[in-house]
Amino acid sequence: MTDFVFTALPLIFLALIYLFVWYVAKGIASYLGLGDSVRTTRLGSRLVFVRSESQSGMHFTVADSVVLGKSPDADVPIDDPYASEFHLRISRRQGKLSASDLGSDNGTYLNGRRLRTPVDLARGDALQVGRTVLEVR
Amino acid sequence: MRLVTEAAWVAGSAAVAGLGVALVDFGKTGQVSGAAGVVFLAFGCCLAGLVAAVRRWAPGTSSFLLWPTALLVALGLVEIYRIDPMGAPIQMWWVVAGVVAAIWVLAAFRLGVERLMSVSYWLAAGGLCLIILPFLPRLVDGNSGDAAGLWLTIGWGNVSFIAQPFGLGAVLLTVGLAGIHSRWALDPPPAGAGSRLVSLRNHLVVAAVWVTTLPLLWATGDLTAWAMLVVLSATIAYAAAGDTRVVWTGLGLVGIGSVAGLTSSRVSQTLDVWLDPFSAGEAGAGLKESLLALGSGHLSGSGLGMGDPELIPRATSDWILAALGEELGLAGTVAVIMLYGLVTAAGVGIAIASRDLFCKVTAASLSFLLCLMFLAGAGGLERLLPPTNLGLPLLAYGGVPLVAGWLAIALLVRISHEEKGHL
Repeated sequence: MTDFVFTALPLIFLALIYLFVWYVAKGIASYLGLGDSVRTTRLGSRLVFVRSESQSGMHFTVADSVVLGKSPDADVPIDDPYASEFHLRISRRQGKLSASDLGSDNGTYLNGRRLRTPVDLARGDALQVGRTVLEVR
Repeated sequence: MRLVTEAAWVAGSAAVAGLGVALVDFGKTGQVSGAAGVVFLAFGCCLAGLVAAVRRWAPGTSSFLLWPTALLVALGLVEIYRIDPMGAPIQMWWVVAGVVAAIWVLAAFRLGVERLMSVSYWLAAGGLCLIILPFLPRLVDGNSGDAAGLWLTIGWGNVSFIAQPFGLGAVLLTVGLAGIHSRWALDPPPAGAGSRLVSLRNHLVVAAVWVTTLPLLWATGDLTAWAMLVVLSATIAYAAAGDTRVVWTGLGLVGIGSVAGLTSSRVSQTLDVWLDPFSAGEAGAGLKESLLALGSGHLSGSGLGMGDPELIPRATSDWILAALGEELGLAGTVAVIMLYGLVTAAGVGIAIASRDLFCKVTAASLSFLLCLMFLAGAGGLERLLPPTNLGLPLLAYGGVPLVAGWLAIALLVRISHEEKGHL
């Protein structure tokens, strides 16, 4: 009987730890959205102003193609003295968003790297225009 | 999360700690002492206090980060009680101190962690000082008697205690570097500055960390801990700027520093121990016993209280995973690895969900730090990497590393709260 207890108790303890791990893993997976389809998770459809003097929290969805810039004639005006009149274009091709700089003075930065050519965007990418930062959601 | 569910998590975590202590007593003496109840109550009260603080100051957080952390601390407490029953109450007090520090972080930054950005240079400098300054006297003294890796003996008269300031320094350095790189990423580059010039400053920060921490390598011979710092600084720069070249620069600098470190007798000794611990004499005793302990643990271990972890030198701190591996076996070791994986996954998830760049980089960097510290410590005791005196965060004995671990977790919890609801 004692031998059985000495054998069973460590296994019960291990089982309790694994039960704990399993529930935490399930919760974290749910928090991370791992149950969603990969396509929905990886591809973004809208852009959110996450850092801006006056536009933080504003967002827009790209249906076809939009031009962002300081000009009031831009599809999405950016309130930033460092932005050019027509700064960058974001377009949707085959479901994917892509960004291209329109020859701006101060450049557009994708995740800290300056855009030289049109680049596909993924969910979580950060675009910086002057002091303004937009994130793909 | 509902109150009932949180209460269940608190009770479950405390039950693991209490049951573990009971099993240790049962394995050693065949009887259960009152220590199990004391640990259950004390640990449960600590967690309940933390949960109350989270509900008060960070109610929007994903509390899933807390539970793998709590279980790691509980397992560490159980194993420390197993190896050193006199040290366990001290560690329990350090758990209390860590939880109080975490609550202080939640309260102090209730208006936002962005305040840390304004002191990022000071944090980075303070972190570097904590990492290297305490060890500089060893360079002057040569092979002085108490040169035990990253541990320091601090004494006044007849009273002395040992501390490892490395963990706290690493947390401060991480937050400081995250702030510095975030500021640079958010501020437009100076007019006329080319992209190469902008990228150069990220590389310079990695090089600065490399240069300033080289004395640590010479003073302690801890190649793994030193390399971890350089890789950490490179990954933080990468997280902020997305520049993969900086990671290659960091790895290149680690290679150069490792070769240069061969001129140090301490580094040579570390490598000798790594390559052949069984013929390295006293210096290789820790690694040798660690490998034997892991090997004798088999699949489910000898059972808590029924192994021989006292044969491993400094088993409560540097080699605690080997002690756990002997008594809980491969199954227990894998569970610990999974818990660290869950903490890292939750931290990275918080970083991905964050909108603010500083929060994003800080969350990612703190997750990298915890992950790298675990990989360094576990890799060292399994001989995958040169052996290190870096204790596993949250699990190993030691007050300062434990408090530093709780500080990192509290910052992640706070960031998670700030970014909640914006997914």
